[in-house]
Amino acid sequence: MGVIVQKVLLLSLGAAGTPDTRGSLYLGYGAVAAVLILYGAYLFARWRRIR
Amino acid sequence: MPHRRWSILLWSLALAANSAALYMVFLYAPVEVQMGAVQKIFYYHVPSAIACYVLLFLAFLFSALYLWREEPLYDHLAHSAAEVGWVFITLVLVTGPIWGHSAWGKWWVWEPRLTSFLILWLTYSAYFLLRLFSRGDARAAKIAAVVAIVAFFDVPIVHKAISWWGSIVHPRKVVLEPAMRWTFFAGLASVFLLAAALFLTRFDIQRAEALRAEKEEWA
Repeated sequence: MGVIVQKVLLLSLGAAGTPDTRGSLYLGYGAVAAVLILYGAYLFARWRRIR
Repeated sequence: MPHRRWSILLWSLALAANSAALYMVFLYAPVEVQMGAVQKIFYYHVPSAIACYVLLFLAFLFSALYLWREEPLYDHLAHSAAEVGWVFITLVLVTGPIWGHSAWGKWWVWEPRLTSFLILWLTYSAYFLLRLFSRGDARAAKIAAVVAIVAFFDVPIVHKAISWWGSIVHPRKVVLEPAMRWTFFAGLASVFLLAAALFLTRFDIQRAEALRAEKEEWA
């Protein structure tokens, strides 16, 4: 738990002089999730059609 | 579904590996000093690029086998590998500009690596348009196989673009500290398991559709 808290703090504070680019990080992983969800939905629709 | 057990096993492994990798990305890997947290896009961006190379090589290989043996099985394998490969090219093209905009202040730069990668995406998009607007017969499959073989020659160009022509945004070599290296390996394993699971699922669907079409033809 201590490690998790420490890492969360590291992520939220960053080192001195480090730019806060967390917004872009979340946007990047959100985009990954969106592409995979869209493709998953496409595969699911095709799978439903042949069932 | 012919490969049901393999599918369930692969999807379970992919889910577990991706959960572990995301934990490492957000909570274990240290924040890079110059770029900040956005550098963590690296842990899925680079593995996605490597996975797309492998999948497009499989599409190339199965397309060549289809032209040689003319067995529909190879066409189905090539089509599935190319489609999942295209999804991973898309992931690289989506995450790259988000990272680039934050790190360099630009969404896109017309440099050799990025341009050749965009050409790769466009070429495989043309492959799917060809599949979509053809009748799905053996002749269309042969033309698609030729396109997949020709399109693959862009992969070594993308890979060698930096050493051949240089790059203003991509480094020649990346040195990672141990925690970053382990997170990268976790990302690599999780992306490869996800790619394998998607490929097998896509192939199963393609085979089931072909079998159904065959049955309908005989009925």
